[in-house]
Amino acid sequence: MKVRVLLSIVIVMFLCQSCFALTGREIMEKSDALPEPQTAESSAVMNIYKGNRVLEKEFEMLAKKFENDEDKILISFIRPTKIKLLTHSHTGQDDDQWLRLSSGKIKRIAASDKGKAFVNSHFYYEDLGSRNIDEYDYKLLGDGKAVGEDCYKVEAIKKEGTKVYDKLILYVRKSDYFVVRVDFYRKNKFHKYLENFEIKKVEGILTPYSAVMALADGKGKTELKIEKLEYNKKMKDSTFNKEALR
Amino acid sequence: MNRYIDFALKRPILVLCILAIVTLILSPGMMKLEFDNSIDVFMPRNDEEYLYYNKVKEVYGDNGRFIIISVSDKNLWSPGTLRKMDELIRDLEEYKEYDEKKESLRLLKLDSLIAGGSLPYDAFILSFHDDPSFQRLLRRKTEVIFGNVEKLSRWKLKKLKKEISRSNDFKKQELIDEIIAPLTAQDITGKDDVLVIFDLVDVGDDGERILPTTAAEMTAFRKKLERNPAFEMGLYSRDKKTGEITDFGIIIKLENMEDQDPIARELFGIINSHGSLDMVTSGIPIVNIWAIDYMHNDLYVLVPIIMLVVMVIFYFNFRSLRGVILPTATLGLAELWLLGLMGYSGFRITSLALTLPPLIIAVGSSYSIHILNQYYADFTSITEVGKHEGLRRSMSHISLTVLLAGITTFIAFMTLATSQVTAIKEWGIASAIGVMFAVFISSSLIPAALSLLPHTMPRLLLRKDKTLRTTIVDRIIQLMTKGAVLHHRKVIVVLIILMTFSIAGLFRLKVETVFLYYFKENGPVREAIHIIGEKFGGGDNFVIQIDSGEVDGATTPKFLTAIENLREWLLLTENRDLNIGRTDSFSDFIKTMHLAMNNDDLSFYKIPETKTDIIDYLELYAGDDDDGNGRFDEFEPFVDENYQSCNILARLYRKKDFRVGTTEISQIKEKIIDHLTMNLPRDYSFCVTGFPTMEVKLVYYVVKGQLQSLLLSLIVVGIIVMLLFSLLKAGVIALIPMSVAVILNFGIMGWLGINLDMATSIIAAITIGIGVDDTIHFLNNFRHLRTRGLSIDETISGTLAVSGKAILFTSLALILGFSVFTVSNFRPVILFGLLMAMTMIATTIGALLVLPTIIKATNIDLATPEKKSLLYRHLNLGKIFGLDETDSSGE
Repeated sequence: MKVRVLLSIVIVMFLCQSCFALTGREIMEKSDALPEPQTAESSAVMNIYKGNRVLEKEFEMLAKKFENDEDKILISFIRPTKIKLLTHSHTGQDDDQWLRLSSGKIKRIAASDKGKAFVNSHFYYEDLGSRNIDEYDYKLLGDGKAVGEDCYKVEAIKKEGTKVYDKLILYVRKSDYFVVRVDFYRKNKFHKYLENFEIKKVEGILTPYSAVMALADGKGKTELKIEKLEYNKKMKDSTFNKEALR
Repeated sequence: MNRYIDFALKRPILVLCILAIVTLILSPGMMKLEFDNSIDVFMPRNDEEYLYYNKVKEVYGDNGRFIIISVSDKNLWSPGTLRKMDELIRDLEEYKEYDEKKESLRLLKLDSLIAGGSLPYDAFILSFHDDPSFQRLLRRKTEVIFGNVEKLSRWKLKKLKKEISRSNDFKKQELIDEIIAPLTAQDITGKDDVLVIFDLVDVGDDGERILPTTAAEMTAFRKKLERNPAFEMGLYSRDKKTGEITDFGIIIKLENMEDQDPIARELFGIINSHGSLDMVTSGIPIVNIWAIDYMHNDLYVLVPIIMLVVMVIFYFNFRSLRGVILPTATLGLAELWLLGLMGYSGFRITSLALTLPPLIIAVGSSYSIHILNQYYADFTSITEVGKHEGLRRSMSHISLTVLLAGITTFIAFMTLATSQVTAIKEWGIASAIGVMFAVFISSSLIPAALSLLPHTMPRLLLRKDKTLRTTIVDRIIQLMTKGAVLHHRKVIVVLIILMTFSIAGLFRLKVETVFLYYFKENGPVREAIHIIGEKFGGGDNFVIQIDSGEVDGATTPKFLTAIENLREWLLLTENRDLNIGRTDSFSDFIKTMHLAMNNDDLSFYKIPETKTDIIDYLELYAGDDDDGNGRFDEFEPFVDENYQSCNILARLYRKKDFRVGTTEISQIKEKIIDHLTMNLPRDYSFCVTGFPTMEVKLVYYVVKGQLQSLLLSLIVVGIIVMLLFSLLKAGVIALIPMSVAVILNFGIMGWLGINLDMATSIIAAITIGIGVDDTIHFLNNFRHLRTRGLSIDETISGTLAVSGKAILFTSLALILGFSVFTVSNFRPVILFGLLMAMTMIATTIGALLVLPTIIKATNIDLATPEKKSLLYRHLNLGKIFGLDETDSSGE
């Protein structure tokens, strides 16, 4: 399963299948089986609300599915900086990430702290990485409402590896198994939540055009809006090579 | 007053019962007394600089008040030392982030153990073997409450749980902002083109630190620590000669709060419980703990000892049990009433308010001695007219004078209530109330008790022929009388010389409000400050704020270079007189990022050349932002939310061999301001603030404010005396002895190099309190005798024989009593004791020699004029108090 939080807007898709008396695991398997695009090209605007300030960031993103269910994503910031971030997501092992500074210097991010903020937003590096369905234990907590929709509430606890969050509570829309909300718990406290809005079908793929990651204490949030999106466009593999960053 | 005295004499038991009931009601209030040594109680809320300092604290946090620990174990690089340090940090970290689940489980387990009844101590501790931090907390608290115990009864366990819950309350508040230590620090490296954010000590998946144990791991840890130049004198310190790392530094930054004392005490308790680690602890919260403890000790230990000494002197004066018990009871009750009332009404004991109990002892002694002395002076006439009538006449006369003296002192002290400074205002109100308590108690308790006791003269005061013994006090009075009557010209000449000498001394008087110098030079507080200064550059800092004038202006190379230039200048050898031991700023983070982005090449430990680089670094910094205000937590002390202005924290190194007092701090500030005015780019603005500058500001508000109020008090006293006697001359004359005493006092301080500080400046107010008392007693008695047709010489001699004796008794009692203060740990209190003794001598000379000399020399007649001006007719205080023509002393 790829419950990619930030990138769910462009790549996470879930199929709608109705069924009865499902377990938490079964619900997530259905969600994981939703159609995904082979490639995605998008441009997005990120508004970060912190204190009295709103920081606006604009970026373009290219994503492509490779063999063995691995993804490669290139995020190129347009403003306020020209940083580029290339991520190679691997199944069952740590992601590789490279960074290109505005000055052209390239650095590999070997062990970025997964619990740290990504470009000053409320998304953490952990939220950018891929999550395998088997990495978690699931428990159906019951029914619940999120973003005005009837949902299954599923608790997910990571079994091994670095645990940035103690647990996640996923709100899976009953109508189509699309994850519309995620509650993140850290240090035994409700820490933050992600909500997906404007969920549209693009080429048969469920896609949220807007998402908000907000702190539970109300001290800040990051809004993400997709301005432009295209699925399954042809992309060269070399676009995602480290050398292409130069 | 006469009616009241009559009532006290007729219903003595009722009066004593009322006094006892009021005491029972008020004294428990003492338990509610709180000590406060924060700078806020000394600062007027509308002072611009103080408001700015608070604003800076709101934006950047409280960067001036932190706890700093220097760990200097012999085996610094051993796994044992690191383990001990880790244990200390773990214990502290529980107050940084509250783990509700963990704490609830702990309390539940504790409850189940309590339910099981008493337990052997070892077994009790062992039951928490899987929770070492909690075991340490239990050990610490058990030791504090019960000392060494072998068994914990159910009652003890319950008490212990109460204490643990108290600690839990602290933890819930998460009052620690940050713990900066080699074991908790992070760094960033970009060697071999790999950007790695790393912990200096690895952290496992379970969040536990993995401490280095092998030699190779220790070397790796050492290398990580030494790699970043910003860590030196922050996370570690080197021996200046050998270059070896000798100390680790731990900084505990507290959240911005007004009263840090409770949490600072809890943390200091934790630090002290890790005694196996060789540590020195300092920082403003710790210094404040010492100060408050010393104040506590002085109040609860030294004040009773003073009372004991005063009691001994009372005995030597009156040679009778009643001569000891009655004045002592007056003092005791007045203290209990005042401190109790202060406790109930939320007045806090500040270093200024610490002088209140001695003040009450001073004025209370004076009042009760005057009353008792009058009783013995009138002993024969009381015998002649009958006990009740005799006591009524004698007590009415003296109580009236005591009331007048009390009211004048009350008004003089109440003038301080106009002060903008909370501490001075509260001191003024409390001292005024205390004075009135002393007046009321002395004029109720003593007459009531005398009415109940048999009318006898102590045998020890009588000679074999049943006449009064001539004591040393009598001889001194005779000497004074002789001086005033026969040698008044010589006395005036000596007085003029003395005043010239004192005024010259006034110019040498230095004002000092730097708290450090309140402690003894070789005491633990100053030692710790010197060690921390030597190793980590200081325990408190100046805050130099530079404003770029535009949002994000602090992220430009031009701005950051200006910051770096200033930091460099502050630490130049030629600027050693600035006494800056270390600086910290936002630029350190940018330099560290630049170093990392350039393969850790040390030549890149500098400000990048382009703004783009700086913005990139800020995007990538990836720090925590727990309060969600848009700045990473590490940046908070240094940059505002808009990245417009930056703080440079410049630690003040208070050297052992170089005094950095109020004057020096002002000079340092001025030099920094001059440099910035000359060198900072024109489009930037700046401000220099911080704890040291607030200490300097105290000079203005406490000492100067105090002296201004003193002047006002003098004027008020002069006016009251003038209205009481319906004579301008009386007001002027009344001021002379008090002014002489104050000038003499300050002059001697100037010559002896005693600084004017918060405690010593209050002496002036006490001088007035005592001086007014003595003067009014003298003037009232003088006029009383004068109206009986005696000559000036006879009047002076007669007045001195009665009032003079009481004044001298009071002075002797207080001189010896206040000498107890010389054993205090607090320098100002020691000096306060010495100066109080000096003040007693000065006011005594003022009242017994200067006042009669002036009267003799000027031939002033204090008789009420037959034709009064309009002012005196409408404001006839003498008549209101029964002092005017209607005076009914009966003598």
